[in-house]
Amino acid sequence: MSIKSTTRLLFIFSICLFYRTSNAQLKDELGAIHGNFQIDAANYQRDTIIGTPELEGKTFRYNAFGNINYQKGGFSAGVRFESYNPPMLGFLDGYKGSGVPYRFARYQHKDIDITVGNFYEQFGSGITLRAYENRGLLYDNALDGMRVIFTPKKGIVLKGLVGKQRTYFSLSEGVVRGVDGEVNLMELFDSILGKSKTKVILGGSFVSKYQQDQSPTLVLPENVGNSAGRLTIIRGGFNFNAEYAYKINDPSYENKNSYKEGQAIIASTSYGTDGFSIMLSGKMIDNMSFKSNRDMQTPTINLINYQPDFSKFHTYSLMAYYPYATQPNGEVGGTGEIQYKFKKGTLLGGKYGMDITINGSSYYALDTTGLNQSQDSIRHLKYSTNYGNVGEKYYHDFNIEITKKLSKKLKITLMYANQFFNQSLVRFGTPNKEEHPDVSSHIGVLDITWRYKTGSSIRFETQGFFGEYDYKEHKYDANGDKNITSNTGSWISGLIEWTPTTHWSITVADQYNYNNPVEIKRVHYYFGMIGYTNGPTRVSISYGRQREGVFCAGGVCRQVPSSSGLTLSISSSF
Amino acid sequence: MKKTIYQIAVILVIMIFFGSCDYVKNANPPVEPTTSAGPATNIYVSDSTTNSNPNLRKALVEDYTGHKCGNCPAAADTLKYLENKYPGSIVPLAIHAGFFASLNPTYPTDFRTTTGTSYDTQFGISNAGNPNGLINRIGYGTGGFIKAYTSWEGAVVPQISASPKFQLLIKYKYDTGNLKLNTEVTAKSLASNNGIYKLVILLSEDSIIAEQLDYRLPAGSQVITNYEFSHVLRGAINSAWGDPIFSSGAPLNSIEKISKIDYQINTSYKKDKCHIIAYIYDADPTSPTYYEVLQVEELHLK
Repeated sequence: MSIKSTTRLLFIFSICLFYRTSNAQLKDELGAIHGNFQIDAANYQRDTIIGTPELEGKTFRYNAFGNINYQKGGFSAGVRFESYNPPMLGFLDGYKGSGVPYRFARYQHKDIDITVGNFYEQFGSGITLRAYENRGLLYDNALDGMRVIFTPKKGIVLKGLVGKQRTYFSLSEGVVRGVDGEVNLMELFDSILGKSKTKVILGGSFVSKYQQDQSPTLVLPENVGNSAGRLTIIRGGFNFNAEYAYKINDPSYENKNSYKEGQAIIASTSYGTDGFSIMLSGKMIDNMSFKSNRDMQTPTINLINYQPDFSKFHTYSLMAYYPYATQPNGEVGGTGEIQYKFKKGTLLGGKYGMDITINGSSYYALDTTGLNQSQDSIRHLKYSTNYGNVGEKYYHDFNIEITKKLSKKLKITLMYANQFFNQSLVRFGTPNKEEHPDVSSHIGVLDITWRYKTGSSIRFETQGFFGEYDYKEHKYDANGDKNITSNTGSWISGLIEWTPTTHWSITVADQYNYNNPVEIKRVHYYFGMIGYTNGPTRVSISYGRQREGVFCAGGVCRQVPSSSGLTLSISSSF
Repeated sequence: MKKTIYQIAVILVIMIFFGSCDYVKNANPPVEPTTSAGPATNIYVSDSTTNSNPNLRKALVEDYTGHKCGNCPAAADTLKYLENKYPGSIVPLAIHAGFFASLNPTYPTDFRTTTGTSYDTQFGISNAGNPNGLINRIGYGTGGFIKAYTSWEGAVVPQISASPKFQLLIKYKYDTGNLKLNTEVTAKSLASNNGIYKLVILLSEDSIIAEQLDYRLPAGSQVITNYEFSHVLRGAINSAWGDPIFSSGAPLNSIEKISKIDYQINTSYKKDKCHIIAYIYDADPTSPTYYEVLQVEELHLK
């Protein structure tokens, strides 16, 4: 690392410390000011062994943001400053720059709640509208406009909004307008029905987008509506949710300009009691990608809605090596999970009890038939769907997790997963299985935490990813090398995390691609980190290699290139 | 007061419901009558050696594409449509680069060039996906720089309506004996220009038949084996980023020339299907219009 970069890192670090110490919580009769900030900065180095991208001198990169919010009574206002010059590897280059993309003023009084400026919102499951932010993905589709929430009577909530979506540091081309109403029948008819143990909530939403038609070759709908109805029933530990949505013709880059209508049915039910819970979720989604700019090609930009993802979110890295996210143009499938706690004193529970979680997901393509151009020259529907059947398999994940405390100081977690990933269709959008074969894998995790004294612990973690690839033709190229670009073979990893005091933690880890089909790529991805935490402030410095991969959260994914270098992260709040 | 709020809410909901859905029964635009006069284009002369209209600013429309890109034929059709609608005002160029232009047994024809790949890398088109285009490379560094083909026409119209800063004239001499091409481009400043400029000379070829993926066709028959490729970038006659021109300023009516002699045309290219393309652009990295193509000219080889 050059002296210049080191100086810059130290400079940022000292500014942050100063900022932190000079901004205690300001609270008096004038209202309260709160805020938080975070800086992640990295100095990357070229690493030809793992194939890091050529950065042409832009080796120092950072993502930074700070929120400052003011509140007094029913009034609140806030701004968020963000800066990426340029953004860290794996985040969209479009964010390069600095600015204040989020500012709002909100007033809440009795039955009315008005926001002007930027806001986040969700209608039902999000299938018609969900404006939200995920810092880890740098996903932010905040609306810039106005929102009114009106509660005319206990049990009734009406929402109306209009705005444009954030697109990097500017706004999207299209305008989003939406209304949502929700009625809690039991609250509404409290006096008639009396205090019922069952809660029934009905809701409906309608969202429309407007974007000018500038196409020379197609007549595009300038106004596209998406509507949904939903039902929730809750009684004791039992919970049932269902939503149906319908979207009119919405040709876009994402659906290859199909004028077919979109439909979705989403349902989930769960039951929980002491020490036991069960959850089942299912969905059928067809052509429900809904973007405020129909020409937008970047998958995570300008999405108005959110197509729920029920597959398990894995926190162990090798379990999440091939993560799944809802396919934007359609899928059918479901997820189920059972959790059970063996009580203390039982055969399996032993002295401290034992937790077991069994989870399974399976998702398929829709069974579709392409329409011949001669039949489809007027409507441009592109395909029809046979709802009675399913198409090619996209993904499955069956996993079991057992957590058991062996003694007062020792806790152990064991996990096993069997996964299948149709990477040609899910990740690369091509039926070419020669370049991108299906991956079946067995993954195991062993995680041991030893609390050797109060506030001090050592955690050992080891993982193994054993992949089976369905090799097709063209297994070897002219030089006799295995010629399958996206096959990295099996992996093992190890991690030791030492927390000597509650303030400090030290981590060393390694992932080893021990049987990569290309021998020179059988390399170690070593990683080390030192972290310091004090109240709301956390500082960490890490050094090592980051493997190329896909990072997903809440069904939204980003591609992360391989990288190598030094990273500094500082966050705090006041 | 509450009653009024209810009434307003109800009216708003009704307005949104009935005003916000456009059902399209026929996705094709109405066919314009062939007798339509269209824009007055008869004064444009494509052969720039005889006359290039000094009042016309032309638009370089770059279509970044690839044979494995199933959505790209729709963009190529848009380019054809623009050429027909604005004859003489558009200089089309198809640049095959990135993942969708790579080869495999189904798509063995290599349309990639080092020049095209440098443009693609510099402008980040493959990262944004194909098809995508640039119109006179306006807006470099801004969110709207890379344009989806549905927005090309909207970007072309203001460009070809603007006053040109330069006029370009292309002359060539081709020796059929040694297959060597001598090109001379004359640039005339039509205003008082004092920036940093560079001039690039390229070669493109039409009517190449090869395989192309087209998602508009039914599944199973989406590979067209005899697709006709037009305006394919074949290489730079001088270099991808060009030669400096008007290094000591470009006052009104000043003239400078750039010549390139003995350029060898690849023998596999059909000469009479080739075009010479010349463009002058803003080469000042500190300028807000960095990379913008200020004038472009095209000449068909005969």
